[in-house]
Amino acid sequence: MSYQVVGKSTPRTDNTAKVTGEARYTSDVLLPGTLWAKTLRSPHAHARIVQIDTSRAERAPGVRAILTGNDVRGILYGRRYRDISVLAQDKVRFIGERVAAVAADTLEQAEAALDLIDVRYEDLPAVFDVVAAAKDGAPLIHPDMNNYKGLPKQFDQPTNAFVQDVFTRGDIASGFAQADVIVENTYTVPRVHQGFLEPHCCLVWIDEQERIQIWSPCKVPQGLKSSMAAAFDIPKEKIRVNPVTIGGDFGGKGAPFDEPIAYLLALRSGRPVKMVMEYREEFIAGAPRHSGVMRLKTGVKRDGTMVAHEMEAYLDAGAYGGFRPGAVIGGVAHAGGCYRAAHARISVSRVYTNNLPGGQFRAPGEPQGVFAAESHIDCVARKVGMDPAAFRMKNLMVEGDETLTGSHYKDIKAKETLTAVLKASGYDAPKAKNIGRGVAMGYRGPGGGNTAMQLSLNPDGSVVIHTGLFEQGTGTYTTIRQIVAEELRCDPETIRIDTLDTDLGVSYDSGIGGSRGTRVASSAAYSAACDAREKLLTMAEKLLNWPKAEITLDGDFLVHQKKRQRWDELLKGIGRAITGEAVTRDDGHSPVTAFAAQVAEVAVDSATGEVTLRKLTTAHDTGAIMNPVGHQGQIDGGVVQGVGYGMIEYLPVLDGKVEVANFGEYKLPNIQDIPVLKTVIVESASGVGPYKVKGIGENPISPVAPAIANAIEDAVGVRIRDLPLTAEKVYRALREKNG
Amino acid sequence: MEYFEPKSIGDALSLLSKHGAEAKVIAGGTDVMVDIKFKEEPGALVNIKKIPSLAGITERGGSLRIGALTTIRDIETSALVREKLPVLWDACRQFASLQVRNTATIGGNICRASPSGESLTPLLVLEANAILAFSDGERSEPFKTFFQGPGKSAAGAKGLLTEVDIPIPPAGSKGVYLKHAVRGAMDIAMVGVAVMLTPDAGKNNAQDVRIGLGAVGPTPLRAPKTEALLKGKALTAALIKEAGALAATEASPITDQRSSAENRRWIVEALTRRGLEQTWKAATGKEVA
Ligand SMILES: Cc1cc2nc3c(=O)[nH]c(=O)nc-3n(C[C@H](O)[C@H](O)[C@H](O)COP(=O)(O)OP(=O)(O)OC[C@H]3O[C@@H](n4cnc5c(N)ncnc54)[C@H](O)[C@@H]3O)c2cc1C
Repeated sequence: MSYQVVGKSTPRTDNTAKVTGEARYTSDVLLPGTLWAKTLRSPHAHARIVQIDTSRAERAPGVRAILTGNDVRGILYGRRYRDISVLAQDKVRFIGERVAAVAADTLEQAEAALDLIDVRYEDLPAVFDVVAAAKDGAPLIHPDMNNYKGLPKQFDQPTNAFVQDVFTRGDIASGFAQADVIVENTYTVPRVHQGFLEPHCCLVWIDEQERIQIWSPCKVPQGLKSSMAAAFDIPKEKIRVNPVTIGGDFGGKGAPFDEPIAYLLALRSGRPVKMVMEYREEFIAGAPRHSGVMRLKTGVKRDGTMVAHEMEAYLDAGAYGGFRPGAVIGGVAHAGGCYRAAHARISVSRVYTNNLPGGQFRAPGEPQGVFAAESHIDCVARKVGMDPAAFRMKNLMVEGDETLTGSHYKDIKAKETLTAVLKASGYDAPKAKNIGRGVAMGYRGPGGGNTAMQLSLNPDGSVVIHTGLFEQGTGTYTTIRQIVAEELRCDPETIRIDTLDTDLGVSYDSGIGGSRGTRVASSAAYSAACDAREKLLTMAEKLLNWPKAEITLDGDFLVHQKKRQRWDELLKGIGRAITGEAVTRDDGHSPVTAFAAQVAEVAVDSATGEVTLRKLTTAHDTGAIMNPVGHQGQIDGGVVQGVGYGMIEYLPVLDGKVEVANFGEYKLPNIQDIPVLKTVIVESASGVGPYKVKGIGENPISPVAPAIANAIEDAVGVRIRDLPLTAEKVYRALREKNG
Repeated sequence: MEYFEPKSIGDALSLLSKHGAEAKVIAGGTDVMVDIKFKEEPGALVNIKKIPSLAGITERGGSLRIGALTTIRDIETSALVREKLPVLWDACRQFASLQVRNTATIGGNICRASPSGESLTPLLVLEANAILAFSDGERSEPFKTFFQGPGKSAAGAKGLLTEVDIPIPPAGSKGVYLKHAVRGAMDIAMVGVAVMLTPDAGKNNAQDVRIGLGAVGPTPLRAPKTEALLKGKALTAALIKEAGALAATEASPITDQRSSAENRRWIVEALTRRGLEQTWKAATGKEVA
């Protein structure tokens, strides 16, 4: 199939607005009479609130409203699992938990008033270690967890391990009994923050009609409405989420954060209320990627055939679990890897501790699980004396196999993807001393979702799209515009997409996430454009007497043989717009997945342990690529985030206390840390939807860290099982190895 | 917070006398502005950037004089510095990022007196002097005694650094600065090691060796025992190994977020060895045997 616009690199819809500063972010929105609100945060990891006295703060200058846990009794919120207190009620569960909130005329007054709130705490026994917290007898952090809404499964006794997912296949014990070699190791990963530039923020105003007007960079506006409606028992229609541009998401902006507090303060003060988290607050309470401990045990035959694969993972959810879409983090199960084994057991627990809450970050669960699994596969290969790539090739799933966790996909391209990366990276080329190459793989199908889209062809000649999809910053709107331009044969630059407003036209969408944007958007945009075209041609047939089947579109014109007619003139004549509509329900399991295979090449300084990532080659099994420049941007960005996770980033937390406060201390990679990046595309025709697409957003990130760990072992013979892979860890291991 | 822009050294000094401990000098502001944001705001901010003639690099009687307001970028791009003071040049080019180097001044780096300050160990091994102005006159203070603790220097609250006076090392002497950090740019040194080596006339022995250690003590340090061990000798692999181990004992690092103390000693050892190998080769044309 050949296209005019689809498949060609197309500039983003938001480039100009962002570069010129016209893009309107939440903190740019100013309403008359807006108050600023700040929250008082707990200095204790686990404590009873004995007394809270706000009387001094109430008298402070400029203070308009104060809230404490007493004002929000019984209210819990969350995305689907609802366990988060708007403000701590009776007890605090982590250092940084919101205990009270003040709205005042100025930010400085709000901050000053916080210092005047007196809270008396009585410490409770706390638990910070995720494995210890999962054991019987650990201090119970949520004794009421069985009553929380959205808990997937209730337990006989309340437990900190509020999610315990187990996938089994075959019989793991007999699998190990058949194995000639069994390898068992434990891997650990730290928390990492999403690192978006715009911290969580919101503005809430209750308007003259008592509607709740929200401005927030939440990437799931319909979800924000639902969460607010559920928490406060108000009809969804009363809430409107207004259009704003998001300042970076990377998965972290799907949950309500301070919106519930701002709402209550707005209600109480009768004024609009604005809240902007400082970055210090993001680090101490911003719902980063979960840290975790993963034990893997794999049994193989002497010839390298995997027969049994077991993983026991504990993810540290911290004090609250509701900051991510579901209670379960499915991605960890990717630790099953892309391999076949007759016997498997994969258990994943999400566990409460008195650390800061864990949230959602690009490919949730996978960077953790894939680091563990793909590091471990290398260890297993080495144990049986096989090259790690050859070991993978032998055990990779093929057409007809299902994943170890029971997912079924057609058109399996695992081996093709691995072959492509080995070739492109020069995996087998000779290496100098202390240079190593490591391979790692992952897979992920595009997520599904539901959405509505509306497209109008207007009498003034404009083409305007209303979509329920939020532009999360990845270029979804650009893709929508390409598709509409393709189907209506017009110039993409002439199409306008209105920034999502939950009041306008389409109010149905399951939200951006899970690499579903292109899958869902391409179906909806295609259907809406086809619907509009059909209606336009039907009208043209009637008005112009041209047979519908013979009419084509060309920009502003309808064309029949030699005759051309502007369509906007026809619409002016009849005095109305034409509206194309689509409601897409595409939330099923994708029939295809997408494999990624990567090779990292490192140089290790054996005197200091310093690791230089020289080159990273990434191969992707893709469907049709809608916008090559956007697709490549997702790949490069994902790889770079993977490099950060692998080598640099971590949120240090000691006894529940986060030890960094700014980006000077919390380091992200910068340009000097980015190696030569090389991409190989293994395209296939088996994608989903009208254009046969797959997702890309979350695919590149996960294999990076294990590829680097594997390359380090290849270079200098030491294995680091704890992220990030710092020079100190490498050097320490080298000293131990060399005595 | 009050804000001042004195037009002369005299005016600046009287502002400092008047406001005492409340006053803070600001030059490039790359440290001061961070402190204002994350720590505290001073009562009076004294911007010295409007004082003329505090910037520039000149050669005078066997010394290079670098004005306190000279930016790190100007030092990095100075042919004179690169030729005569390679150890300082090497440190400046590894400093932060281009944007920060364009703004940060050497005077700020020195007066900040952070143990990890990039220019500090080079100035120590170059045996340079700080030219300080006080309301009762000017004095020259060797860097050996200038640094008194983290953030503490002989300039105190009332002094102004006007210049650094750096004796040009003998021709044939070579220097390197080696930095160990978490990321490739825009990062504070976890360990910094400056090595300067002057060969004897026949290029057979190290007539003089000076080693500076950064970020491994309350101030930047010299490693006198290690220097003494090496002085007058031909550098061999065995000697360099011994020197590295000795240098590690001369450091007194702490454990923090970025590294354990133990690791910092290991890095001192590795970088000292490497610095000696590189300067020996550069100075004598010979590989370490
Ligand atoms: C992002 C970033 C990265 C950085 N990376 C590095 C790095 O890699 N290496 C490194 O060494 N540093 C680094 N720094 C620290 C800083 O840039 C340097 O210390 C810089 O040299 C300070 O110079 P300044 O002119 O900006 O000083 P200012 O911030 O203006 O002043 C620093 C201190 O010196 C005092 N002061 C300044 N001039 C004088 C004077 N003439 N007389 C008396 N007192 C004076 C001030 O009162 C203040 O206490 C970094 C800083 C930032 C923000």
